[in-house]
Amino acid sequence: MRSICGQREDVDRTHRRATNEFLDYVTRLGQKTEVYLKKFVAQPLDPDLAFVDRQNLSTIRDFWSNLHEFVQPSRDADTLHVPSILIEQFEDFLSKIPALRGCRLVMSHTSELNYIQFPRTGLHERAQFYADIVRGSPRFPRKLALIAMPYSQDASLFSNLLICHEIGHFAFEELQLEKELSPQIERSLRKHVNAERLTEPDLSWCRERLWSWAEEIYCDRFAIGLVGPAFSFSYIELFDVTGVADNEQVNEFSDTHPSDACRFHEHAEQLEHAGWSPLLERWGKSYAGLIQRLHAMPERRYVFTSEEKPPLARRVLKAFLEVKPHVERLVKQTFRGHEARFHGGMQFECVETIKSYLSWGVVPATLIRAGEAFKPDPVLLINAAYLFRLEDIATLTERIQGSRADDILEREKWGKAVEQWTLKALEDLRLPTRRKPWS
Amino acid sequence: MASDVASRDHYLTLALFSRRIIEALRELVRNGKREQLENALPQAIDSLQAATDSRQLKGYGLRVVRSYDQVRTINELFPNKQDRVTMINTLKSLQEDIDPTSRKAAALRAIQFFYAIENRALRNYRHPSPRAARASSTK
Repeated sequence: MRSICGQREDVDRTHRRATNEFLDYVTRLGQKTEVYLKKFVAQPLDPDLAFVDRQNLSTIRDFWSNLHEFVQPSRDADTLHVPSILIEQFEDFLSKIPALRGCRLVMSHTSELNYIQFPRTGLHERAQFYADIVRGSPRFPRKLALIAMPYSQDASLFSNLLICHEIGHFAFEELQLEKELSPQIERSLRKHVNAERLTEPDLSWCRERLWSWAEEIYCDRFAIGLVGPAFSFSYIELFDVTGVADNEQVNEFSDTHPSDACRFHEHAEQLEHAGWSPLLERWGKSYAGLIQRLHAMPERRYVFTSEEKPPLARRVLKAFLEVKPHVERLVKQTFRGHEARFHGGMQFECVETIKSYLSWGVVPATLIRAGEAFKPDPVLLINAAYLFRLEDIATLTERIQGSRADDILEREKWGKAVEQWTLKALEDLRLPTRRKPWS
Repeated sequence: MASDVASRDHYLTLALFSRRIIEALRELVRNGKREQLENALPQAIDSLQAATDSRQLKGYGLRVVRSYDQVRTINELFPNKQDRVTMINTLKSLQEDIDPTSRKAAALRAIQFFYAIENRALRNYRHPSPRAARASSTK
């Protein structure tokens, strides 16, 4: 345990405040556990219950082995190895949602080329139970989300937008949305599944599917609520949705996730709700088409085949389709009108200007309009930059001597440059300024 | 969210949940103190009720029935529904003012019950079931 919680001399690195807070928590937890264990061994043994007490040590040990998965990866994600500006930007986005104001993100690295949410099914809850066992333990810091990112993506902007989905898992837990959704899940389950004839584990299996799928949809919609369509683009690229969009795989639900067709149906609805559709129609081209195609996929083509409980699979899928509209309501309730929106008009001009700056290799932090300096909205900046990289990168490469638009390596190189310029612009936007917002 | 990771988390949560109740019961047996137990008992009753008959979900039961692993573990260990119902009644009796001898006997029965759950949960946490290993989605 000491090897896990011992404070190390981090002379060669610095961490974000949230990470320090988490590491301090682990250290204090270790100190309290040490005191508890000293008392534990000094206590006279009750021969009748010695085996029960002995098992306590196993539970404590396993709790620490679980914590072990978080500690070093959090230390590894120091300020030089995470896109700190982007993470701070996410915290700013969160602060616009009244119930999530003050939430902080503890980043950690994972070797998976994926984004896994570390609170998962309840680190807070486990820490709470642990504090009841090891009395006097500190409480898990409030409003702290543990989020993992692939170590290789420390300088990326666009792929890290998937973090917004993981923040959604945190929000779902933090806002205790299970209480809100539970009545709908139970009603739908009882309508489609003959609960009287099922065992409790079978019923629970059905519920787990419904909850997992509903939470995933919530997180996708939440992510779009934070950063707009850029989240959908990032998802399409990381999970190669383009590659599976034309076969039946796109309709297949897994035990834990809805099908891509179902998810993009929800993406499209959320984008429409927040007014992003005109932007996509004008500049989104390929990805907008893909999103619309999946949006149009009829629900009857969705498939869930379970190896574990084949007779229940179809019915649980039907039940889920009735739960889905309630998830949409929960997302609206979460944002209370503070979701990222596209208003058209001047914002079209803003996107065009950002794209124009990028096409000349200029960091779009200050935009000039009619001789006056303006600053772009960060969400609009991210989306405009992403659209530029997807659809218009040729306008940049054509201007560079010796560079060819059809050269894949050149596109990749300048695509990375666009990400860096955008991150730089996000950094500049955080500085105090007299520039007016472009609205 | 990777489901094998989630599955292991569920087992560890169940082990800690059980241990929390055991510690509260131990405190009652050892020192006659009920403070910890008063916090832990309602959740223990809710969760056992949820794993036995989920038609009347409330309190912490809402959380438990979301986890197939947790409900299955409890049902596998105590397949006879009557055993679970009896334990619910035992826990409820501990909420009442009963004589010290009966209270101690009830607490010891409950300790044995939750010890078994904790034991199985720890085993499953360390050696994930084939179900967990089979899970492939990591989105």
